[in-house]
Amino acid sequence: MSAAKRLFLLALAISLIYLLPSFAPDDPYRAETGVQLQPPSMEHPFGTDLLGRDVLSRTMHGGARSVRIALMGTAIALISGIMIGAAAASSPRWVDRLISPIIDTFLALPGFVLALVMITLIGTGETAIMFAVGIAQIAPTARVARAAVLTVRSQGYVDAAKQLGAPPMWIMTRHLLPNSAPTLTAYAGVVFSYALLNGAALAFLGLGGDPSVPDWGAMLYEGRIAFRSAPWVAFFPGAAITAVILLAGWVARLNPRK
Amino acid sequence: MRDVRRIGHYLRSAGIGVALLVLTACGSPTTADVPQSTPQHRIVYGLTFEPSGFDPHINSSSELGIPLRSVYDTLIYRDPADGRFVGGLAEAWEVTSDGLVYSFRLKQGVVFHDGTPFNAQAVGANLDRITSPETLSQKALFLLGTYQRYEIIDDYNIRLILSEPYSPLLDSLSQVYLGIASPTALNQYSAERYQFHQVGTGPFEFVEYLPGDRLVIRRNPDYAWGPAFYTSPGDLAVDEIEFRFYSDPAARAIALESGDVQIMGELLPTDARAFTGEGIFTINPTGIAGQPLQFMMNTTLYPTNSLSVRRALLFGTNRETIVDTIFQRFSRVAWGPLAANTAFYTDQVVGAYPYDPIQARTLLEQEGFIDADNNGYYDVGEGDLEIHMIVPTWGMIPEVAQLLAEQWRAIGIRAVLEIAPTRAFVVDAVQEGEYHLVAFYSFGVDPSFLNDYFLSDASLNWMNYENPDLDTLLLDAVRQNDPSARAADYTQAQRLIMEQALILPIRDYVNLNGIGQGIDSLIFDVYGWFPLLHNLTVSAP
Repeated sequence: MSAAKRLFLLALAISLIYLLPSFAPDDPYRAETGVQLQPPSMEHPFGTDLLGRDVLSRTMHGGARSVRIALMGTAIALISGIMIGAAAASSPRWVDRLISPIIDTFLALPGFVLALVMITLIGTGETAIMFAVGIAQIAPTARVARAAVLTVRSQGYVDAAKQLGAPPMWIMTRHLLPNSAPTLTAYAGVVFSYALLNGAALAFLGLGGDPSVPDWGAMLYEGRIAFRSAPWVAFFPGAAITAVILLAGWVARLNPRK
Repeated sequence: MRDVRRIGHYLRSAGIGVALLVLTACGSPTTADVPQSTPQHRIVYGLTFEPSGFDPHINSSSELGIPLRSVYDTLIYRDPADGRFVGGLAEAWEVTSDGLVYSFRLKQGVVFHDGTPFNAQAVGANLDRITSPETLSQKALFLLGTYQRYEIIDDYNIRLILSEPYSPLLDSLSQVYLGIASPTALNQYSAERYQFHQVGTGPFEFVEYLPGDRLVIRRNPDYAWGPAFYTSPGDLAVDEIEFRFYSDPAARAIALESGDVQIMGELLPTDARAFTGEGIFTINPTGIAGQPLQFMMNTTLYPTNSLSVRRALLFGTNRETIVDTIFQRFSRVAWGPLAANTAFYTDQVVGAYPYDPIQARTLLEQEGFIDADNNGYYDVGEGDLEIHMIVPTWGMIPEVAQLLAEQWRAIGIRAVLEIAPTRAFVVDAVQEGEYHLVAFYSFGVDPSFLNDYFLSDASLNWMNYENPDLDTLLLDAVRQNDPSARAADYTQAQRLIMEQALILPIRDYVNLNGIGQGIDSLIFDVYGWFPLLHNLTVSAP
């Protein structure tokens, strides 16, 4: 599948998630007394939660928020990570020797723990989670970017360009980054998956700000406290998270050269 | 070759495991000093979270009292049937008319679990420990109020002398936090270590506490000095109880169902409701005395600085729906600052603010609020009329806040919820000052805890409300010895608090205990949290 088709698929999936809220059958905030914890039915295809809200509508609205957090987190991780990794790989050795131990130090901390620390420092809410999950993925992204750029840098044509007197910035934008792209796009899928999972986990822990705002992670928590009597409340947002992560992995695995 | 390597790996792992086991066994801080015998009737009791410490003189959680209420006796007990004060380690007591001297005649023949005798010197040693600045007592010290010193008259007579009258003292002395510990054990272990080697005179002996894992107590065969409501449990008496920690609410029902525990506290209301229908487990909803689940309203920040807005919030809240939906009808609706089973509660506040959204809107419109942009919310400047709420994550408060937000949408108020996952987050958010409502509450039978919230200079006066009349009532109520005078003060105080709409009470706190088949006679004391395990038996086979 071509790169264009792959991008199209990704764009389609994301816009679908963004468009879904407008098709939600019900107000995701409306708590209807008397219909709490109802199993899936024609009226409420995904059932209702503890407060009598429509789980389908909340899943639709929650997707937009969860995916928005993951996308922004991924953007933060990729832009910063690639810049740091490429700088380490293409600069003089002493710069690499300075940057690499810092990357290694952050790699020693699990991404989720790092995100939790960030939340403690910058507070709760949607923007805070975006930064927390994004910053948590910078170090691994930088490590992958550094390795990818180093591999390309050792190629003969890069040496040739250098010998011909090409400026470093030109080599970076014409050779190093484009030829590292397959590795980096594949890794972007991984970063996105982690961002989505970590974002959901933070919301699950109640760090996502206003608890009434639909969010897949927060819905998992809401579902968990009623899981024994109403498993559907947690099942649908859980299944949605799994589906999006599988899709991200599948899109990222496609090789643009084929 | 790979298999050989794998075996080598397993052997190494096993070696490390054995080494760890040996180390753990050698270093265990909790080796019991209790004679070992095989218990006949052993049960597991699920606690809901592990407190930061288990020393009743030092730590303050309600959780620690669940096992320790039965390890210690107190000078006084409260009869679980009617809340009357009855003798514990003290068989009689007298209070002087000025309320400054409390004289106790102690029981004779009482022996601590370590074999040392109980006497007036032991009571003195406990008071010394609690009041020592080094102890850093979080609760016991404050329960003593204006206590100043003690005088030992003889081995079995002691006087407590106060600097000012403090009528909640008898209630304080009946709480586990002022349980009497063996002075020998207190001297033997440091303040940090004593929690692993506790010695009292109660119906159960402390066996061991392994942090994060379990706390075990075993029946004291020599116990013969308990209050009258400690009846003889006979041959079916439960003789050993292991307490385990289940901090995850969703895991509690599963632990009960799987048979891992026989008694479990604080089940989720939905799980308790499901169990009620199934009839396999007994649900014992125990009312907890103290404050109800309440939101304090900030009286200094616009718009809750307006009495009309505060009253509108009360009229706009459908508490019956909240109790029905979230608490599955296990709780009573709360109308005032005290839960109905608290001493000096008055029913004069009941029905003061019934659910009346029309009345709520009228109050807001009289205050001048209009919805010019027709978006369903009253306007404040360019935006909407917003109420900022600090929402702790415990006690189903986030769910309650979400329903409140939904109910207030109908009266034109937009609620903004700020989640506070820990007590520290709550305190930080309060200190920032940008809140209108914050949920927080305490437990206890004597309403003297109201002073921590409603006195003008109280540390938990997060309403920022100052009223000399209320101060006078609350201060007088802890000085008066006459219960009817105290009742009059507290009735007026409760009415004033609700007239000024300082709090939004939601529901009386209820501990939903799940009890497995084969367990009988689980009763709780008047505080609601603490089981009186002496009477606990297994069912006849």
